[in-house]
Amino acid sequence: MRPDYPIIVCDVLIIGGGSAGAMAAIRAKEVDPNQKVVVFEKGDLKYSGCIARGMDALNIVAVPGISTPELYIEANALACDGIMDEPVNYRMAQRSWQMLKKLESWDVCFPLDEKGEYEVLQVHPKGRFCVTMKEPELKAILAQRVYDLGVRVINRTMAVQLLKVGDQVSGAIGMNVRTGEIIVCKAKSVILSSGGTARFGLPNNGYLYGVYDFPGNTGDGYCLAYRAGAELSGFEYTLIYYIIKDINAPLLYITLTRGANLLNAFDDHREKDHPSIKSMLQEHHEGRGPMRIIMSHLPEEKIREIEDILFTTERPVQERFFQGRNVDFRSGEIELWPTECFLCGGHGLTGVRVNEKAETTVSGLYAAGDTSLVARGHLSGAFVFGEIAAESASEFAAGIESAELETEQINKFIKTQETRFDQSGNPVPIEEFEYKVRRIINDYIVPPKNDYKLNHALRWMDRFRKELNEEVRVKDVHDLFKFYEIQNIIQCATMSALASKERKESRWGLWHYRTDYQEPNNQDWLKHIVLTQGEVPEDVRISHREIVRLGNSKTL
Amino acid sequence: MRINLLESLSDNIIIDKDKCTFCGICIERCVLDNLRMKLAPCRQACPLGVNCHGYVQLIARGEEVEGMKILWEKLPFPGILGRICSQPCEEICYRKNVDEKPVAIRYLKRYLVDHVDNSKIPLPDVAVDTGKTVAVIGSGPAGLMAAYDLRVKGHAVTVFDAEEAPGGMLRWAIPEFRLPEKVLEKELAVLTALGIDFQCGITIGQEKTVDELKLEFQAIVIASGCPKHLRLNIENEDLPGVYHGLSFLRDVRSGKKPQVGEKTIVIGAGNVAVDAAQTALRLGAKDVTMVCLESDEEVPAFPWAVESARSEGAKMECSWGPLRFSSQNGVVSGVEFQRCLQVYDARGVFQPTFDNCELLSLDADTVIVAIGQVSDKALMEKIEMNPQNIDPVTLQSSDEMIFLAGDVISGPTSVVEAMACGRQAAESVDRFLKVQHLHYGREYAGPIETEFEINTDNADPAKRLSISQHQFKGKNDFNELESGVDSKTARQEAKRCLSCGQPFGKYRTCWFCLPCEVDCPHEALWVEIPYLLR
Ligand SMILES: Cc1cc2nc3c(=O)[nH]c(=O)nc-3n(C[C@H](O)[C@H](O)[C@H](O)COP(=O)(O)OP(=O)(O)OC[C@H]3O[C@@H](n4cnc5c(N)ncnc54)[C@H](O)[C@@H]3O)c2cc1C
Ligand SMILES: Cc1cc2nc3c(=O)[nH]c(=O)nc-3n(C[C@H](O)[C@H](O)[C@H](O)COP(=O)(O)OP(=O)(O)OC[C@H]3O[C@@H](n4cnc5c(N)ncnc54)[C@H](O)[C@@H]3O)c2cc1C
Ligand code: SF4
Ligand code: SF4
Repeated sequence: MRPDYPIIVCDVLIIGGGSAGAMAAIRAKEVDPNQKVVVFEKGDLKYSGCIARGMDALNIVAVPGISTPELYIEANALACDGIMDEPVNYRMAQRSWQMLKKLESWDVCFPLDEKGEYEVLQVHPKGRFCVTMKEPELKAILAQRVYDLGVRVINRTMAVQLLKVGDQVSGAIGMNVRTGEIIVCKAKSVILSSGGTARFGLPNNGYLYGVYDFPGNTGDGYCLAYRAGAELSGFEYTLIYYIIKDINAPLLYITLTRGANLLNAFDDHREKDHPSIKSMLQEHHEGRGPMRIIMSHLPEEKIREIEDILFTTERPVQERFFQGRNVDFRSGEIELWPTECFLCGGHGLTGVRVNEKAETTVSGLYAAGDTSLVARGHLSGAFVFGEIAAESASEFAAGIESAELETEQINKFIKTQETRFDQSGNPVPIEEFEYKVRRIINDYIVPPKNDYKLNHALRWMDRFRKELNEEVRVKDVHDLFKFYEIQNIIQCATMSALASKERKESRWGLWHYRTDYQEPNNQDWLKHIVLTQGEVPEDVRISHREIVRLGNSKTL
Repeated sequence: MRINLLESLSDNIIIDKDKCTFCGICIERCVLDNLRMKLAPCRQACPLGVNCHGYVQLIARGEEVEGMKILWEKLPFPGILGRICSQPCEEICYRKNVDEKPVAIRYLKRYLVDHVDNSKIPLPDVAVDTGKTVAVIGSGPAGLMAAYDLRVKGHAVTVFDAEEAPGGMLRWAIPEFRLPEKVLEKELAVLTALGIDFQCGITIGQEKTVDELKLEFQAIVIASGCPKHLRLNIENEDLPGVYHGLSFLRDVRSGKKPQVGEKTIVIGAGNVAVDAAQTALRLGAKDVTMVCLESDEEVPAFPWAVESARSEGAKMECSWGPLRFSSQNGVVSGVEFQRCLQVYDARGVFQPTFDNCELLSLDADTVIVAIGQVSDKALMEKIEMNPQNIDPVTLQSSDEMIFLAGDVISGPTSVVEAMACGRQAAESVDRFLKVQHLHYGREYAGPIETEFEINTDNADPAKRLSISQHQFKGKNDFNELESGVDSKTARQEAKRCLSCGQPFGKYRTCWFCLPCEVDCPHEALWVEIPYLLR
């Protein structure tokens, strides 16, 4: 490893080239084709992130004549049990239709029925917002535009630290995950779009990467923002999905909206009760699971239609899964089961706090997608806020002469990084360590929660922090790469335990169910639990913030 | 070997080796950096990183056009290397563990060039013009490769050469019977078609100076090779009838026919010496003897070249060092040698020791001294540059806009090494012109594994083909020595390949998301659901 490193200078740096990051890159170039836009991407941008093989729906679209942004605010507030900032969600819904049309103009397929209308499904407690999409090449389409517009994509590069001058973000340090080399980007503004924490709890299948959400996302965006001084929220929203057992791939609404039955272990039908992930999980938890999807009564044509979507788009690997299990939708059943626990701003409420302009509380720093808190925004949130973040970041960059760097910060990072290989003789392989960290997350952070368990979680995380430096082996660059990821997972677990301890009530069904405070308490807890960094990363400062209402968006 | 929790899981990435071309696209696509390539030994050995494994397998499958495309990806000069490459790939070929004979990887390259219609292979895409200009000094293999790569990257390239036509040793030293001029011309035409400007007959340092080039161009690659022959510096070395290898071969290639008597001695046993010996035969010598310091086992020339010369009647005397030339009537009449006991000392340094009691006298009317070449010090001295003082990774000199490439750096190597060096310099120049970091990522060998087990159980029993050789017919027969091969024989030979190596899921971090499978151009990769989830 050489002491010197490349420095790339740009206007807008985007960290994470998934759904939100790719969209942000495109938008930044649309806004100003002459500005320099750089993406740091941990994997390879062409397919990286959640949408490797596309998506089967754009979950939130206010379709003219069918639904409105106002209705969405109402519906999503219900889904969030009230912990939802209205302005950001309103902005998202407001621009969602325009987004759909834009995607369509790029040849993204939204199937139309005989009447030439979109299929708009109800997946929220109120209103229909979910528009069926059938585009396995979604990410490749975005990636092509990113490259065509002249965005500089730096693949295999994990952002490991944001750089600041004074109170303002001025770039980031990236590490090549194959060579271990450092690359520095000096940027006038930075957008964080590095997903949530998908590798958090250990999945039942026992395979570290056999998770529902994209396992390249290890809470890096949260930790980068936090260490730069931004506000985080929703870390007590410990999400567990309820989807296909063992493979942890989703399929619920595609089947239910086409007439599938949903049965619990006692053969009670649930398909008519507006089943949701939350309600199924509850039922499972109460001992009436597993839930099963049954389609044997459906006509061949419907089954084919379902297979056609499931086996081509989103997680097409399902086809070989069902074949291997000898499950034919015509006769067999699909067993559902809880996934691992994870943190996510797109499916849940965990994220960097942003306002309608995607601004975080740190000057020059923006966030979008699962990293940001646009509650349950899913893909629509990632795309719309990717765009908004790009617009704001570009505007901010335009107002700055040039970014500065404090090389001291970089030298310090390099110094610590170099000492990592002193750990090459340590006894514990990093994968074994990750396994244990995530198992302990299962034991003490995964709901049902109580003070005793959460205190234990905190004690364990302190111990892990120490062990990561003293016991864990870092022998090569791959280990080093995993080292940084797990450091973030541990940090997320600490923050999750603290936020969970702080919220002394139960909320969001099982997701924040505390056996020592079993009831929701709107009187005291209809608010955000906000985390910021104190002196050191372990020193998590907790505060409370009011829910931001429409017309009152400056509160952030 | 490293085993941990994940790596001891079963690999869920299934490769159909009958379809895979080992292109590595899957490895670049993987979103979780799970995949690595177990790189076949031949590929590890190729300085240019040519995917020999891939093209050999494609020949075995009868897909020559695809095979040619693989060659073309990395190598604009397959016709040249298909004939005269020093073939480090064959040296290391694992097939030798089966029946001692490597797969004829180099010869199969030539087969592709001979058999695939060029019109099926488009010129490479040239990047949008960068507006930057580069001067390349020297048009040997190193300069040509640097020029090609820089042009493809969108820079305007001018190549200067002191000789009247480009090619360096390819044109002016290596004999026509090993590398016909038309093969060179055909591949040079590609460079001209790409818009590379050749300025020949201009010696830099004489007609034009490096300082002038520095004003005209934004970067300079010096690839001036080793054009100066070494002298023995013994008595009578300048007698009529004594030639030096490089200028002797140059004279032949430029159409002059140096006078060669019946009895010729070649001093040296490197490739230049062998070429000189075979050339002397073609100029009419009846009796040619190569005499060298090295012992039989140490002969530095390619064994196949020595074999070829021997088959034409050239003799070889090993372990002799020349003492003096004898003369009669003012012309050379023979050479006196003393016994050489050892060429290299214990540290491997060239330090010959002799026994001056044991002598050998050989008569000769012609002597060709071919004991090595060195770079032209004049050029380097003029610009106050020490070729040893360059950055070994970037090949950048102490003058930041000047880069070195090829034999000028550390003495004679080979065509493929000089080309690789040209490519290395071009990468640096490109980064320099784009104001990018010169070192970043370059000490990384790539997403590869170099140590893995190779299974020889299913090795095809066929014997290595014998390369068909033109039978030397005597004086003036400069016909090409090697001739081509028919498809049946070539495919049969390709089937001897053990197809070592393949992509695999190294880290077991797979999310079974399928980009690797989807982007595989040959449907050769199948992602199995990891066993724990199946
Ligand atoms: C299986 C599945 C199915 C889904 N189905 C739907 C659906 O049908 N409809 C819908 O609306 N939503 C759906 N979603 C949700 C939606 O896909 C996500 O909310 C959205 O894609 C998130 O986008 P993102 O850009 O935030 O994250 P991602 O797309 O995951 O991108 C994050 C990127 O950041 C990179 N990265 C991470 N850390 C770093 C770092 N330190 N440095 C550099 N790069 C980094 C990652 O490699 C990745 O490329 C689904 C999600 C999943 C997982
Ligand atoms: C007789 C012989 C046979 C060989 N056979 C083989 C073989 O079979 N296989 C193999 O792999 N290798 C072989 N080699 C080695 C191989 O040819 C060289 O290693 C290779 O050509 C070196 O390439 P280069 O580009 O560095 O230099 P060169 O090929 O030497 O090219 C240098 C060029 O620079 C030009 N030049 C020098 N100074 C100036 C100046 N001041 N201004 C302008 N131009 C200048 C020269 O005219 C020349 O054209 C052989 C070499 C010789 C001599
Ligand atoms: S599996 Fe496919 S993509 Fe991978 S190396 Fe083989 S041919 Fe190339
Ligand atoms: S399926 Fe596995 S190996 Fe292929 S791209 Fe996805 S993670 Fe990588």
